[in-house]
Amino acid sequence: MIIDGALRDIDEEVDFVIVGSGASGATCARWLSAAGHQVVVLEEGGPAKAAKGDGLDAMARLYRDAGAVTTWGKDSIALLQGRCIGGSTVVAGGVQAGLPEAIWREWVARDKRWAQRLPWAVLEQARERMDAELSVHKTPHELWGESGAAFFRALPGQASPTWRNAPGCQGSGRCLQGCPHRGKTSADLMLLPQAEQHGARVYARCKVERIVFDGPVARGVRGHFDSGKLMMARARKAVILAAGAIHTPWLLLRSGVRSAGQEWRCHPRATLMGLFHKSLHAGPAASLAMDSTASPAAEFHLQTLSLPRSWAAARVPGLGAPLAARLEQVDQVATWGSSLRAQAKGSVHRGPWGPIVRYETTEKDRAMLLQSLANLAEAMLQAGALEVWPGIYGAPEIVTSVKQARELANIRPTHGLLPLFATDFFGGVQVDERFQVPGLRNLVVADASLLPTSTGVAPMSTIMAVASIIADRWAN
Amino acid sequence: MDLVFGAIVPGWKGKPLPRAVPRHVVLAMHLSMVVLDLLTLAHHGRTFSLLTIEARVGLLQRMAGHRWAWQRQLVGWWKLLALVTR
Repeated sequence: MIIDGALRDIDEEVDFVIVGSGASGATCARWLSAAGHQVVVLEEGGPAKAAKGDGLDAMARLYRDAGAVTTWGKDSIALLQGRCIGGSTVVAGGVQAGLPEAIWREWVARDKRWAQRLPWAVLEQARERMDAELSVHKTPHELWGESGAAFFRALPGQASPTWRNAPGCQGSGRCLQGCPHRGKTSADLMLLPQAEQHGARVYARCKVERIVFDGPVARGVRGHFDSGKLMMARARKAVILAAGAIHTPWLLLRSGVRSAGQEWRCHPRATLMGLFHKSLHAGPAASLAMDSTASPAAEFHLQTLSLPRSWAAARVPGLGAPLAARLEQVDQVATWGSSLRAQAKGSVHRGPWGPIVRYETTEKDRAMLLQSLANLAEAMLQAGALEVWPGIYGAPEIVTSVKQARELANIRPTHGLLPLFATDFFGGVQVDERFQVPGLRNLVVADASLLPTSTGVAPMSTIMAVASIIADRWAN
Repeated sequence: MDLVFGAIVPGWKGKPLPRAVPRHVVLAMHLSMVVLDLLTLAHHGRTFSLLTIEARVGLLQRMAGHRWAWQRQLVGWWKLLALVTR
């Protein structure tokens, strides 16, 4: 049952209190309630409704702070996070990529205890179980779209269709605004309804402000609804933090856990655009149809993106009349992007209005990003683009030759070269063998903030697999 | 705000910002306009609204290509808002 707000103060006691209804929170709720436990899920946002327009309305309704959250530092990376029932699963492209074994080995090399915490075989088994649950399948050829097909031709041996949890995808390319056809098995449509069938209650528009402790034991959480009414949720067995790798460390810091917030990471992303001779948006196309997954543990991944028209238009070069002229051709424009497995580490802090993320890419990261964009620009020209618009400071506004494309890699990698955004966040909290915050009891972390490094690939699948393992262990 | 968005996207006729946009984002938007007016005063001796349309576009273009990243990022943000609210 989803309870949208409250008209009176609420005080209730259940077995597990879960903070956050996204990938990890919904997964925990689904498995814990199926095992017969009483579960309450607290979500800061409201019920997810696909926005009609493709503009600011969609961002305001589904994204935290209308998508205006950025890192503090010289790069100013936009941090896009879902803020609704279902969390970021509602606004993600639905890509489900398993954790590369090389990354898991890296975790074990850093700390041998990861081999016991998350044995590879158990992790793989959990991923397969979640893939089956979410009907994950490869993007079919008819949903590649013209842009995806061009990407596939331009990167032979590297490009492959993405695996997505979108069995009802109609190729409207509107994943990032919440699918209007309910074609994605996002948490609000699949895992949370299953949890509700087993008796779980989901409270929407309820912002958790503090964890309540009794000595070292977490007893519950306190928060308030948008209506101003108070929420006190008491946990008999555990409080499970699943608010994501920004808000989970922030909530711990607010609650006096001073060790939280360090070693925060993300996948910075950049896009470039290519002008083709014909419309690329005539037929159906998935939002994220293609990915370069030939080398899953690579430092960067290239992918196609089908962005809402107004979002894509913001990357079209120029202002005034030149911009207006190029906007006439926006249907002929493909947007391809690069997602970087950055080495940089940041930190989460308490700010006056909420969390502050301090983060700056390293020079090596920026050089790698430029190299990936040079590869992408070259591939775009080989795929038949008439012009590539890199949007990089110090580069030509329009790139028309392979030589110019290759020179993008030689630009001096200073900060703030191009607009960056990130949707995948990791780290910020250390956990013990039972995924509890060290030194505290019954306080479990189940989201990406417990992952020791970034995953390199889209993390949704890994987050859900890990959350289901944690739920299994606590259910028993 | 209307003048800036109109200079970025000719013929811009915008909608008001949706109510769901947080107040601190709206505040940041208005503060950025104050920054723009200060920059305009420094370079042209008058506020942005008193400039000709050509001068407005020229100023924004200089900011968009400025060596200081924060000026480029500011214009990028205005451009995004202009395009998503038109």
